[in-house]
Amino acid sequence: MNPDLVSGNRLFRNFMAEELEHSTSKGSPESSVHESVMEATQQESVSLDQSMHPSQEVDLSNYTMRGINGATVEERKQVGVARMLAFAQGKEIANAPEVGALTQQEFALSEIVSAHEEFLQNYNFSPALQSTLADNPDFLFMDPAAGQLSAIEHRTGNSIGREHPDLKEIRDKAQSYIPSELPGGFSKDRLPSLGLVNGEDMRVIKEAAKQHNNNIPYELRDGWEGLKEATKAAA
Amino acid sequence: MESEKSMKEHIDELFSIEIDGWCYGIQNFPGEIYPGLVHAVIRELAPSFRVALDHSHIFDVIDVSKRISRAAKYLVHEKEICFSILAQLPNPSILDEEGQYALAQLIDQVEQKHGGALVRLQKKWAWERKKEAA
Repeated sequence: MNPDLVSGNRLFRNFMAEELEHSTSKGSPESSVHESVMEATQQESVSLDQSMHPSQEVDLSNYTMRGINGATVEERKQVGVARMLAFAQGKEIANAPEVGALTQQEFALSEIVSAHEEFLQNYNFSPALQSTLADNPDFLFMDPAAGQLSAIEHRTGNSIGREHPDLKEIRDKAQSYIPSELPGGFSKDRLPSLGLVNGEDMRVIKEAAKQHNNNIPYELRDGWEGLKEATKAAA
Repeated sequence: MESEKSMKEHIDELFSIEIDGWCYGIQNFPGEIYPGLVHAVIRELAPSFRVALDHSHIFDVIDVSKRISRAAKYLVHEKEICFSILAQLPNPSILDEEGQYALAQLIDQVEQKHGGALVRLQKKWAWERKKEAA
């Protein structure tokens, strides 16, 4: 092998060792709190201090002033943790006075943001797919049997439907150039950057979403349904 | 599994055909090509670069850049396209050892030809790491 290439690789590998060290040593105390609360709730074996109150855990004052639309993702996650604590402690969430400005729907939304982030981190989707999925938290709650698949396919299809018309024009031309039959029995629909979401991608998404959904408490789904209804009504 | 094996065996041909397709698309674009559009095409190619890495396919970055530059009637310089391609490659911390080795060889091609590739990518990765930690 070319000696320059060898030295370049060595340099690169040294840098990589540092990169990996950094990436494995990081960790968010907040996310671990969230995970433990989720776990406790799922197992229905709550071991939290019963005297602990959501309002003691996070400062929601900024959030309540701006409302859900003005909240950052981080704030929504914090609210999610607080509400999950209330859940775990068996409190009536809608009537909890300390978080009175928050609704069940807002709680659902904050939890969806967290669940969605967790989902994207846990499954090895392609970068293009990840970026499109990241914009669509509701796919987590899809029910393939209810015929939502085509909508999901549209949303996740390599930005098709919302990409720039010029880029679409080039993509269409590129697709017209590619022969239908490709080496190895592949079709042009399977080419990573030209194809729509292919069958394998959809199978993986469906399976992963199903598994993930099974871990989400039904109360949260109810909240999500309520949010969708409320959004529709507001529109 | 069979499909995965077949992909590995044919990745070089499939990758080349896909690049040809995009070059054809650029060449035959009826409107006026502009640099942003060329870079948008390169961004679209990110999943293909990732698949190539995942299958340890060391494609010729310089040649791919030349082909895209030529298709765009040299509106965007080959060197700029080289760096644009590198910017689409994944952070090495998410790759396995083989993937990292393949990535190193891709970067090295540009480093040898134009210089400065590794330094720029190191800055980018450091920035990504900082952003992720924030």
